Amino acid sequence: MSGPVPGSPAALGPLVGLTAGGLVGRRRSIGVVLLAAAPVLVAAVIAIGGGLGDSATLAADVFSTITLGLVIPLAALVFGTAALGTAIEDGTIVYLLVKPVPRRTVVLAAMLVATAATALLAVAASLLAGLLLVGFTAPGLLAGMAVAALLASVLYVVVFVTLSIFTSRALLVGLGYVLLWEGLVTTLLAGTRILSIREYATSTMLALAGTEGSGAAQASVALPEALALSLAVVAAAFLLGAWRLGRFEVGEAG
Amino acid sequence: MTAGVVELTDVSRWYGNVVAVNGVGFSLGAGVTGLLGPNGAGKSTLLHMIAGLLRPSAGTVTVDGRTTYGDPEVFRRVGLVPEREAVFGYLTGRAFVRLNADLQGVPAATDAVERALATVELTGAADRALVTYSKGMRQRAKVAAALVHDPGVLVLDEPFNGMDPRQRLHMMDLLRDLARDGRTILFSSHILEEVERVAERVLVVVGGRLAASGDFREIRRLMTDRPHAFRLRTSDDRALAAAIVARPTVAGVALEDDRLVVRATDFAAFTGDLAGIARAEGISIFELIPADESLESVFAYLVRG
Repeated sequence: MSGPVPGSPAALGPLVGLTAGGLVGRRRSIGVVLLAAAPVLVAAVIAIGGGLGDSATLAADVFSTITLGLVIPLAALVFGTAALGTAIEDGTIVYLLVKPVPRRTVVLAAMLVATAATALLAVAASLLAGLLLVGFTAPGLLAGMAVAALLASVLYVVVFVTLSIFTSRALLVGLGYVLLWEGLVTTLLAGTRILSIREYATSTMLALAGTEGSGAAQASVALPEALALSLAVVAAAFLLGAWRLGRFEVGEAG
Repeated sequence: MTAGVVELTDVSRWYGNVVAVNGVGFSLGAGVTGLLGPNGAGKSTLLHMIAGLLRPSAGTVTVDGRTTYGDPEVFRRVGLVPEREAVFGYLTGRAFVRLNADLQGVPAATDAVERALATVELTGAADRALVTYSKGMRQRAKVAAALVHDPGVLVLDEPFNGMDPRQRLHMMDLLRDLARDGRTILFSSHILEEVERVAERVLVVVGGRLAASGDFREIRRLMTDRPHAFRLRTSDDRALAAAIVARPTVAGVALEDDRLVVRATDFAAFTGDLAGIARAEGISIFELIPADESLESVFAYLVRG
């Protein structure tokens, strides 16, 4: 029997197709799309109401609190935990595990698809909300929000995909991270902000926008640190996920 | 088709303090082998170790001489049909089989997929999503997915679960056909009759241990040689007891908890006899229950014997 040697990336395509098919059309996915409309609606309401002061600050605030604070982590949580977690939960992961395909390829495919789905919504929501508030007057801010949305999508997704390989309660644990850690602890204790995906994205946005930040959007992690830590998060999440799936054992007594 | 050779040597597997498989050894070649045992006997654990999904805690499991755990080449030689019914429901039958072919790196995948679909007679339904399939069809789609890379060993975990009698017969024919092609086929079941009808060889596992193995007819004879117990509820238990205790097919009679318990030496002869005796004595039989026909009691007998 011949065919590609084990370890060839030929399996990535079929795995990406499979994972994407699993996310499309699910009720949860539709909920996420509706959620992504929230910052756009808020921006529209503000814009119609005639604005509330400096529009650039408003745009940064809407992005920081709603898009980055809620939409992106929740979208990443839904897509990230569903990409592999569903298959692990219902046992269909077996069909992927009994193949001469490296487990890291399975993890990579899940991360790619969930990131693409999250980033698509995140970037679209960020740009639409931004355009409604600042129009084309602040291209740096728009670019900053788009890039920050992309970065946050990647980071949240890789963390949540790996989480779903380690625990069947990934949704709960992930929600705890987003709401308790990033929503509460890091806002109260400044020293903990170095370990917050949200802060990395905020730093990136402000750096590209060329502002110091004001209102809800404040940079508490310097850009080089934010980028280095982001890279570390992606590498660690991927390696940990691949390692865990590599020693994944199916079946129980019986 | 060259049949794969499955070999287990002194294999044990435990989960924490729970021993699922305990010192099992056997060797399999071409043909259909049934892995028979009550629920929780360790059947799935054995099959998962053969498929390379589980590492044995002790002992060795090999397919064609290769240690199954940690060797991707083994996945090319073994096809696994898992017990869990869940499949990627949004895929069509054809897309599901194709996915398995692609992940196996099957050359000329299109032909291989059509061949596998034809083997399980799903060509007509191949463009429908798997969620619309009946249990039997889904089971066949799973078999096609496990066959598409043409493995020498096919392992099926409870393939008859949830099937209606017609689907069951169809699956039995399929397994026999696949074995005729020269494959090594191992399937698990907790139902005696299923194994009896398809398997040439039987492995009986009880409590993680191999209780018996070999030709089915011999094991069946062991099972039929033992006394059979029946519980009866009749219009007059004492009168019937007196009438049947003299018969040569009856080894013993007892009255327990308002029930007449009869130990028969020969299952068929006794049940044939009983109706005539009851009629002659004018006694009505309300209930006749084989008291120890459960699989567990058969196993208990085998383990003891």
